[in-house]
Amino acid sequence: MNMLTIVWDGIRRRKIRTALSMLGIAIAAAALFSLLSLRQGYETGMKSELENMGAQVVAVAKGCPYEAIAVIMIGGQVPATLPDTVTAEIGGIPNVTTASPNVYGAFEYLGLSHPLIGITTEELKLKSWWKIEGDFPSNYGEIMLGSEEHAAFIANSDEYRGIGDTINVIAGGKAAPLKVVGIIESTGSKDDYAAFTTLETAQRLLNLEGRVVSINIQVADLSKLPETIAQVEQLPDVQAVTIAQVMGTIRNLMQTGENILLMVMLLALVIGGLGTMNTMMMTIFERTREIGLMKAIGASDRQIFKLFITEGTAICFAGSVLGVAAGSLVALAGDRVLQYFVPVMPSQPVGQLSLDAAVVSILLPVLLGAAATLYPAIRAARLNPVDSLKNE
Amino acid sequence: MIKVEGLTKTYQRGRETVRALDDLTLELEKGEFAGILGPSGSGKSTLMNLLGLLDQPTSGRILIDGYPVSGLGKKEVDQMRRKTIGFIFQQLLLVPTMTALQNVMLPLYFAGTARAPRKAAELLELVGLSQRMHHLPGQLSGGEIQRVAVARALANNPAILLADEPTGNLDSRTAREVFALFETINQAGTTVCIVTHNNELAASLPRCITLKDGRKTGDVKKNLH
Ligand SMILES: Nc1ncnc2c1ncn2[C@@H]1O[C@H](COP(=O)(O)OP(=O)(O)O)[C@@H](O)[C@H]1O
Ligand SMILES: [Mg+2]
Repeated sequence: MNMLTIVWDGIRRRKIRTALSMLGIAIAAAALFSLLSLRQGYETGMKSELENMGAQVVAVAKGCPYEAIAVIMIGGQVPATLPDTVTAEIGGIPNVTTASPNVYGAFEYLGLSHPLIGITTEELKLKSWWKIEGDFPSNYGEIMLGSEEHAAFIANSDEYRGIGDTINVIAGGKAAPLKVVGIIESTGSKDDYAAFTTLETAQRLLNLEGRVVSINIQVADLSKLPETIAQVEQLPDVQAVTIAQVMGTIRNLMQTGENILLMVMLLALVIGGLGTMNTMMMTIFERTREIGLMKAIGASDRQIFKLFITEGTAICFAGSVLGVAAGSLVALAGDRVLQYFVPVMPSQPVGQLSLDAAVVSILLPVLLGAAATLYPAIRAARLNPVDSLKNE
Repeated sequence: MIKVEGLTKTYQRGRETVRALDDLTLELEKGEFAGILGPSGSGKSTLMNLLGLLDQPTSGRILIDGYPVSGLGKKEVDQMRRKTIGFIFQQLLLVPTMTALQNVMLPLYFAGTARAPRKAAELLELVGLSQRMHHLPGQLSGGEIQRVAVARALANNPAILLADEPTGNLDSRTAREVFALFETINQAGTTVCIVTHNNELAASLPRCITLKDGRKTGDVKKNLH
């Protein structure tokens, strides 16, 4: 016999009540765990997404930086553009090794909208990991598909079977035939879900002649980045956004919502803790005689205190372990949940189980449970054996 | 071995003060087998609880082996109770969800005794329940429950066994059996002090202390041998 034998004997007598207070804790722990895991997964995902841009700085037209980020991350309506002469000017700045102009837009095909990105061969310097089957687009009307786009068109289009075929799309309100000349092997980034074409093709199709949406910049010496940015921003109407800033902005966007969720979760935990306290108070009330008996046969106040603090903590521990298990399912199904709440999603699944999050989601309820059981356990320890044995 | 001097215990019942024990002086020798008799409400249970160190007297003192208990701290009182005293109640008091064996193991656990299962099994054998070790209290008769309680009280080898009307809830035959068990334990050297209403059993006690209204009205030692 050890302490757990006695604790377990107490718990199994009140299965339903114990289960209910465990459930309260489990729900809070599940919510906490899935939130923490998703946040971590989302951040890692976004980070790798931004690394996949291959640039350290992006130059865009002056305006709201959020809009610029939205265009960079998910495409969509272009808020403002720059004249394409800026590309050469940026390329002339000493620290800049690569200046790759981009035009973002979309075309319609098979009833769906698809991202269309105009690039030059400069982009290949940024995306050194691209493996291209076929050719890089060099003439007007030629495109190169991301692996997922290629697969989707194969599956759903009658006119497309692979490289060399022409697809008839609608871009900028007009019908346009585009010839597929190349396919990019899977990169695990949003490039898999886009079509790339020459700068000129994108400009003409999207009615942006002589304009670019962004210029992706790579520098030789990262320590001189601030000076380089200052030089870029001296160009009229140009603003430079670093990838680090973009990451920071995404974090800020998420922070507010997250803080509210965290508050709700802490509240849930506190309610769970109060439930445990209530359960333990009832237990001690019901077992008053037994506590008196234990004292009469040699239990010290300390031992009684330990028995009940262990019981309360064990309930919370079991509850939070269950909660983390349930929260794992939510976290793994994370993409489907998260996409309703955030504007930008990384292309890789964000659902991942984080050990740190598990530790926090178990430790917090256990500490809370111990705190909630403190008062009932002290009450139990202080019971007078003679009085408690009288109580029939 | 246990001595009480001027022991008084009062209870407040509304505005009225009840003197449950009134200036009681008494001494129990090592190896004695004493009975406490008296009408209901005469203070027998109050005395047992004080002797069992489960409660504190209003005034007067208790000495165990010459040492006043009042001089001890809470921890030492716990220790003393654990080592010196075995307590048996009138109510059939076992933890209902634990087996006979586990119930007997409880005091061993609280005292931190090693090899508790073996010791508990030996004790159950001593009270004649080796066949009932793994039964729950619900599966035992009243007499068997009280014998488990005796085994439990003996777990830490107490110097004195205190029993407050241990046969009160038993039929007369079973009561005689349990009583016989106390005699055996006493013969093995343990001091036994037992509260009883049963005159037939009381007649065979070597010593009878009678209480009335919290005072000692009689203390008769018979020489049975
Ligand atoms: N906790 C208590 N509060 C008030 N009065 C009590 C309490 N315990 C015992 N008494 C009173 O003290 C007297 C002695 O009680 P008790 O020792 O239980 O007697 P006995 O065991 O001989 O029947 C009785 O009058 C009883 O009502
Ligand atoms: Mg009584």
